[in-house]
Amino acid sequence: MLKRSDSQKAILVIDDDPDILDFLHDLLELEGYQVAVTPKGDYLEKMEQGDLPDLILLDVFLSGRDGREIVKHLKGQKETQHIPVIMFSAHPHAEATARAAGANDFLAKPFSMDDLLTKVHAFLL
Amino acid sequence: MTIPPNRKSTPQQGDVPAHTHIVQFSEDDTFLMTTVGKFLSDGLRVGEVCIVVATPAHRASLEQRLTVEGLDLTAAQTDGFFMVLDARETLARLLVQEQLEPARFFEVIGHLIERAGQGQRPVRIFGEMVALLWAEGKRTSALRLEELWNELGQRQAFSLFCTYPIQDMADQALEAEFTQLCQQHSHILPSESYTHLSEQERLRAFTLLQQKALALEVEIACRHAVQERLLMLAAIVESTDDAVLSKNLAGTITSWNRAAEHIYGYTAQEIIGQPVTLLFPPDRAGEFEQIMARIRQGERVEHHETRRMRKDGTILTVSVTISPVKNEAGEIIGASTIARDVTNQRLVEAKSQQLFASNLVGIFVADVEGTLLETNQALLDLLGYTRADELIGPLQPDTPLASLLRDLIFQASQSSGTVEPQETVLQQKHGKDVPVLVAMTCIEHTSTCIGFVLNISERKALEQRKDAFIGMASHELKTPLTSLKGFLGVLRRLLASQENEKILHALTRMDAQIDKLTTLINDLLDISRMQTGQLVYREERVEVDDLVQEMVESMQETTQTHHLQVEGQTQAAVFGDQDRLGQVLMNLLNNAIKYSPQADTVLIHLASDETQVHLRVQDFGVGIAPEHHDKVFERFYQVIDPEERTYPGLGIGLAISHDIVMRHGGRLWVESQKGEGSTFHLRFPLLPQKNRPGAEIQKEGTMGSKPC
Repeated sequence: MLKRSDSQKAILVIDDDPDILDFLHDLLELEGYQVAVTPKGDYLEKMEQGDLPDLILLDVFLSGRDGREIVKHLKGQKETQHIPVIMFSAHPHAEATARAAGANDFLAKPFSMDDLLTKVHAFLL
Repeated sequence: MTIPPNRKSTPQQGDVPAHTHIVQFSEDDTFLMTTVGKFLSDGLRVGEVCIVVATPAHRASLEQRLTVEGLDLTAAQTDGFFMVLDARETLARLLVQEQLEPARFFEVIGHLIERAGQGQRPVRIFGEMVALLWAEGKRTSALRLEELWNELGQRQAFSLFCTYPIQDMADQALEAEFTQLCQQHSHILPSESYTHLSEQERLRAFTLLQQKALALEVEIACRHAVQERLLMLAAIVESTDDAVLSKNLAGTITSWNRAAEHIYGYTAQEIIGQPVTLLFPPDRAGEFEQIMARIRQGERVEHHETRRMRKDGTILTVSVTISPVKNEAGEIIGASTIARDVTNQRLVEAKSQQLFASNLVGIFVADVEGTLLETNQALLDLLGYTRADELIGPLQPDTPLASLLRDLIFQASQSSGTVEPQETVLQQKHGKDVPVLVAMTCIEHTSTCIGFVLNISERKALEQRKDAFIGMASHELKTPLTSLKGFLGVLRRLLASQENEKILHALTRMDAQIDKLTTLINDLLDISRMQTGQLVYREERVEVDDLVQEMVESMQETTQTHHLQVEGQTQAAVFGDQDRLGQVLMNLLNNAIKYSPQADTVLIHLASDETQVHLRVQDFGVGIAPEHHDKVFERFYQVIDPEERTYPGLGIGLAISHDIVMRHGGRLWVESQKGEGSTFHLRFPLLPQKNRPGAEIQKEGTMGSKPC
């Protein structure tokens, strides 16, 4: 559950690798964001309307779930379609399909922190 | 044979005028002696000088005849009217080194005649030296001696009588010399059977002779033709590779050619007279009677394939044709056999049949209309059929195999009868698709095509597994790298406030190492995909100057040792994958820095013309010896020089770059000398280019896929 002050932007990170969730959590918090992380793809669907994040970082290949299906679903829902989604993958060739599924941006793993933050800032201005 | 007319009127025998040169052709010695005896006695009786140059036998015979005629030879010799010389001894005096010497002749013979005639007395000479020469086969010398006699006759008056046995003139080849010989003489005396006839009889005999001569000429021509034919037939029989032999009805071999010697191992000498059953292996012994029964009926046995035994016991497979041989009366007297050794041929056939039947590769034989004639078990298995007759025959035009066959035959007709191996998919009987490799070759003189079909589904599956593995491996490797890089980022931010430069520097170095590791993993993934033709290329407009600028700036950021200097500009765009082209540039820049540790500059030169852009990346480093220039673009190739320091790397960067450039229809090459730096050249065709050679860029697909 995201708890945030009014000025803080909330970011949800979905990746099935706990280490990646860990560092992204720390990094984004250091940058002043409210961060929630989860390895579960269906986390979002259980969220209350008012708890929706301002930005989602989403892995393409999740265990048991294809991130592209999630982004397709999000972009198909009136309530969530405005939320920017940045996808990332260790398969550099996944970019095209990720964008086709509705991702607003893409990062190839491993990505540089500066690149990530630049993109995040750009969406949350 | 033509007898030239005499140059002077025919003399009456026994009435020979002086200065004449008479030749007598004689059939036997007695007749000759009679004629010569008369020639001499006539002379002696009228007080002429007679010289005899003859063989001892002829001298004795003549002396006896003249004595019988009542001539006193002793007195004649004493008075110088009768002189006798040995023909061989005299001849020897005329020769110098086996050759007739004209000067000697004139000296010896001229002097002899001079002495004998004493200026006034007519001289008659019977000479046998020419006959000796002729008999010894020295016909040119004989003719030459005749000439010398004639020359002497121009200077001195004498009558010369010479003689040749007519039998020595019988050879047709001597016609020209005989004619020449006759022309040397003023008088020709024909042989005795002609001489004894009356005038009327002579005319008849002459006409008869002419007729006989003509008939003989025709006969000779006929015989020559027959002989030539026989020689030719004999030559054919001798030179053929088939054994040709004959046998009588009892089976005794009567002739045996060279091929028979070769095939069966017996010489003609050994086998002629032996029973032909010698050649029959024990299990074929009964065959002889069966064959001969048919021969006795006048029947031919044609192309009968059987076994025969060589002298050394080897069993041969032969194809024999046996025909009855008849005599002039039409009775069958034996048989001729022509046998061909087909042992090797049958062996080859059996081998190729085996090769066909038990091959692991599917093989079919089809005619040029696309009708399947034969298939082997491997092909049936591959296509899921159990019996060949389900496939053999005209194919249904809409089946996948039929359309494949049609396509292959068409391709073969376009390329001198051979279709290079190509991958395709064939549908099995029950509808399942099988990836296959097919090749076909057409045999022109039989109007058939032989096709080879290899099931490559396992290879395909393996390729897919390999690809999946590499994909997975790279994913698995990159995931911890991502975390590592991420935690480094966090650490850097946490420590940034402490302003500890050393710590921050170490973190930056670690981050750079992670980037290098990432590049290596990406390269491995690329090279694997490149091999299977699965590298994905985007197609987009790429501004060359911008791309170069971006890559150079990015590289300069992490490079403290070298200044990357860009010269010129292209003001042009190419068509391709921006990231891939960037990858090529990064690879070239990386190499330029890596291999010029002592230098501080890398030059990047840009230029373009109407059709292409030209990029050069020049370093001032260790250089590459010319023998490595092509190889550096091969996978896993690294220049190894024992005297030099080694440079780390996988040896795949340039291979990937080369592949990317080729797929973009460009060229990548190097100019370098060892120790003098290297310049890598890149050329790309300019936009707009719809049909660029060597590159077909598909949207988000694989470019110019080339399986390997």
